[in-house]
Formats: sequence, C-alpha cells, structure tokens
Amino acid sequence: MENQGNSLNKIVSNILYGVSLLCILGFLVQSVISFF
Amino acid sequence: MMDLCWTILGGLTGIIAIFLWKLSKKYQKDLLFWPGLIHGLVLMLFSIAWATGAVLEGVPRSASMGLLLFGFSGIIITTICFKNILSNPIENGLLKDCVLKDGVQNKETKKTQIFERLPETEINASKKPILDKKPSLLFKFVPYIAYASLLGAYILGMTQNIADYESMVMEKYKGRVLTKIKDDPIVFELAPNGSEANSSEIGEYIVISKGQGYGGPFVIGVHIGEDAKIRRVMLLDNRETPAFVKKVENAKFPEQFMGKNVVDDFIPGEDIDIVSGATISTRAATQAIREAAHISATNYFKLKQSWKKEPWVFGLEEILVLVLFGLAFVKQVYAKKPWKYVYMAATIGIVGFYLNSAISIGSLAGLAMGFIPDFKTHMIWWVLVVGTVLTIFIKGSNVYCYRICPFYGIGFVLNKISGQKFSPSKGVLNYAKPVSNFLLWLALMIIFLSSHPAAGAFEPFAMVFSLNGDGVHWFLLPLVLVGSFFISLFWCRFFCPCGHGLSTLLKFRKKTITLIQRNK
Repeated sequence: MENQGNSLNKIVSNILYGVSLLCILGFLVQSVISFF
Repeated sequence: MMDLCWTILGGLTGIIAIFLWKLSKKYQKDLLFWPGLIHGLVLMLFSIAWATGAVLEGVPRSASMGLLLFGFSGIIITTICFKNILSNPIENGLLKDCVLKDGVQNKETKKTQIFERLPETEINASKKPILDKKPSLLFKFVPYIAYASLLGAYILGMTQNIADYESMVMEKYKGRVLTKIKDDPIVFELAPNGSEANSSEIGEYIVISKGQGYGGPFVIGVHIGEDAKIRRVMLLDNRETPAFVKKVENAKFPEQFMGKNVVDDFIPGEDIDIVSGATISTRAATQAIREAAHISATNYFKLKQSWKKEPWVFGLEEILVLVLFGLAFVKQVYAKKPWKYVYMAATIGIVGFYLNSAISIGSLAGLAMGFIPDFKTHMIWWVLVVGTVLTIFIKGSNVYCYRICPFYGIGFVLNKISGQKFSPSKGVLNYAKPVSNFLLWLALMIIFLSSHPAAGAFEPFAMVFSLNGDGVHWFLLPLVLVGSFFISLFWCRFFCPCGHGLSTLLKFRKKTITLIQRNK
C-alpha cells in the first residue's frame, strides 16, 4: 500500500514538473516569436 | 468547444459524485470530513469551469486568478481533510474499517495514501546531487559549448541590436523638415511649418534621450515647441517587462508632460505623478524626459538653470532593504527558529509584496549587459543585485537564495501548510539538473540575442507580488504554487534560472581560485 501511495505521489509530481516545464518553454517560445 | 468543456466538466462531476457516494457507504460517521471534502472538490471543479471560460474568452489572467483563488483553496482544503483522517484513523474509523476487512486495505484507503509522507531516506536522497552518473566525454564539452554560444550571442546582441531611433522619429514627422544638429544625445531641429531648414527663425526641437529602467534603457523622443514647452512625448524603445510598460501607457503617463516648461523640475513624486506598481519604469521615463528638456533649455533656448537637482531617493524602503540584506549575513537570524520565520515573513512582505524587487535572471543579465540604473534613484536595485553578485565574488557565498528571496519564502510556507514531501520519479530527477541548466542557457540566449532582459526572464515573481503577467506566464503561476505545495523547494530545485545563475557564478569563482592557487 505504501508503494502504491508513493507511486501516486510520483505521478502527481511528474505531472506538475512536466506541465510547469511545458509552460516555461511555452513562455520562452512566445518571447522568441514576439521579439525576433 | 464550449460544449465539449461542459461535457467534460459534467463527466468529472459525475465521477466525483460516484466517488463520494461510495465513500459515504463506508464512512458515514465522520461529520467534519464530509463538508470539507465536498467543499474542496466543488471549489476545484468551479475553478476548472472558471479557467476554461476565461481561456476561451482570451483572458489568461482571469484563468490564472480563478485557478489560484478557487482551485488552490480547494486543493488545500481537500488535503487538510485527508490529513485529518489519516492522523486519527481510529476515531474516524477510516483505517480501522479497512484493516479489519480480511486484513486487506480497500481502494479508497490506497487513494488516500497519495498524501502520505515520503520515507526519510527518500527525503534525504532528494537533497543529494541529482545527477549521480559520471558524464560521458561528449557531455564534458557541453558546458564549454554553452559558454561559447552565450558569449557569441552576447557580442552579437550588443553589436547588432542598435535601433534606428532617427528613422523612427522621421517616420512620425513625415512631411516636415528635420535637421539633425547633435549626435549625443540625438537632437533634431524641426523647422516651422512651411519654412526651410536652417532658417533664422527659432524652430522646434526633438531630443532623443534615455533613462535607465529595471531591465534596460527607456528611450524617449521629446518634441519641444518654440515656446519652450513640451508638445509631444514618444516612447521609442524600452527593455522593461511588457506588463509594466502597459501599466505606464494605460495610466496615460506621457500626457502629464504636455505643456510643461523645459525648466520645470520633473521630479517623480513632486511635480510628476508616479504610476502605482510601475515606479521604476516611471522614474526611467521621467529621467529621459528631464534630460531632454534640460538639454534643450540650456543649449537651444539659452535659459538659465532654475530647476532643482534630482534628489537622492533614500527613505524607509531603502532602509528596510539594507537591513534585510545585512541580516542575510547573520546566521542567528536567517537560519535559527523563531527568527528564521520572522525574517522570512519580512522578506515576503517587504522584498516581495511591498517592493516587488525580487531578483530575476533578467536583473543579472541586465547587469552583464551594462543596463545599470542610477545609484541615487535605484538604491534597492543596487543593494539586491550588485550586493548579491559582489558577495558571491568577494565572500564566496550566495546570500540571496534561501535567505532574501521572497519566492523561496512563499514556497516554503505553502509546503509547510501541506506537510507533504512529494518527489518526482528517479527518471525525472536524473534529467532535472541538465533540464534546469538548459532553461538557464535558453533564457540567457534569448536575453542576449534580443538585448532585452525581460524577454527570457520566465520567473513568475512579478505575477505573485503585483499580479503583472503576460500570456502563458499566467498558467505557470498556479502550477508553481501547487507544485510548491506538494514538493519541497519545487521552484528553487527544478526551475529557478536566477538561483542556477548565482550557483554558476559561485562555481566559476571557486574554479578560478583553484586555478590561481595551482599556478602559484
């Protein structure tokens, strides 16, 4: 049960990390488009 | 599109209703748990509906605020409810029921384990250097390629990005005779309508001057009439964060200069109104206009200097920042309880919400590009940015990260509220360090190539502390706050380009000292 809890928390963390990373990249791409 | 969103939301509501109904069958006795859980889940659903509607209407700021105010509150309430159940299993009957049934725990209990703490060993493991593997020979050269490309971008940006302000002004005055009479700063004489250039009549002047803002120069063209009064103020170029410039423009800041005499004082806070929330941009623009007006007063209208000199800006705000910066060197204050919390609250309140002066990668890159504001009027910038960098080079310690940084404080408080220590999987952790270095490199490349410090500064600091943001940035804010709620030091460990930049400077110093000592 503990393992399952840990794997769930890893899934949530991975999603948060991944989506945040996508947002940052999105912002940088938006900057590139608007400044160049 | 909207129909699809409502269908998805309806589906989600149905799933949650079934989930609650199943739970209610087994755990009816707990009275406090239910209102909290339902409230939290309803808030989360409402925030999704709000954000979807706002995005479809093209208002990302509203979407972000909805997710933060309602969605994040929902997550906090739901988490506290689950925590309460887990900490009192027998009283609430939740775990007791599960264990009693054939010694096997049911599905609902497993779901609640999402909120369990990580084992201590794993928490400690997360503090260790993320990338344990030895880099291959190819990867050894990657940092040098990165440094070389950054140097190339820096040189290219500084030499190529010189805007043609003369053409910009000529474009705005098509059909009039403009004669350039000075190079530094650029001054045009504008012949009266219908007359030729260089006629004996005193014409009008257009002066192009610069004021130093937070991100770089604020270039302004000032049109002065033959009566020595300002006729027009043109914002030609700036390197400020777009949200701040928008504030200046929306407040119709340039309009207040119309009709002002060139011998006026032009001092923000006295005869010039400061735009609330964009103080530094306002000061930069005023500095440029003042310089243009006073140059034309003495050089072309032959008027005597009767204006006040720009006073030093030194008040309560500067004193508070100096005190906070000084205390960042006192371990008893920034590291020991209870003063640690007092200090953290002060940095969040003063450096964050009150002054909105958190250092970003844009500040560091601006310093490297020579965009340095006046010490007399921007002492806070000097203390925080120059002070931090000098401390790294002189003392070899980073006093900003985990001490003065208000965003660290916000993340710390959020994580304390949840009490959770979630961590991404090992696969993600292995790539986290190279990814954060790549983000730092990419941000610097964009800044150097565009010569625009705000272009690559992706930190959501300004949004947290003054609700200023642009486009995709709005979605990053709720994500980072929710991430910090569950994952300790989420922003600092995985993304912060400013923190990684300061760490790189520290490493650079250490390597240089080692190299010098070896050669001795």
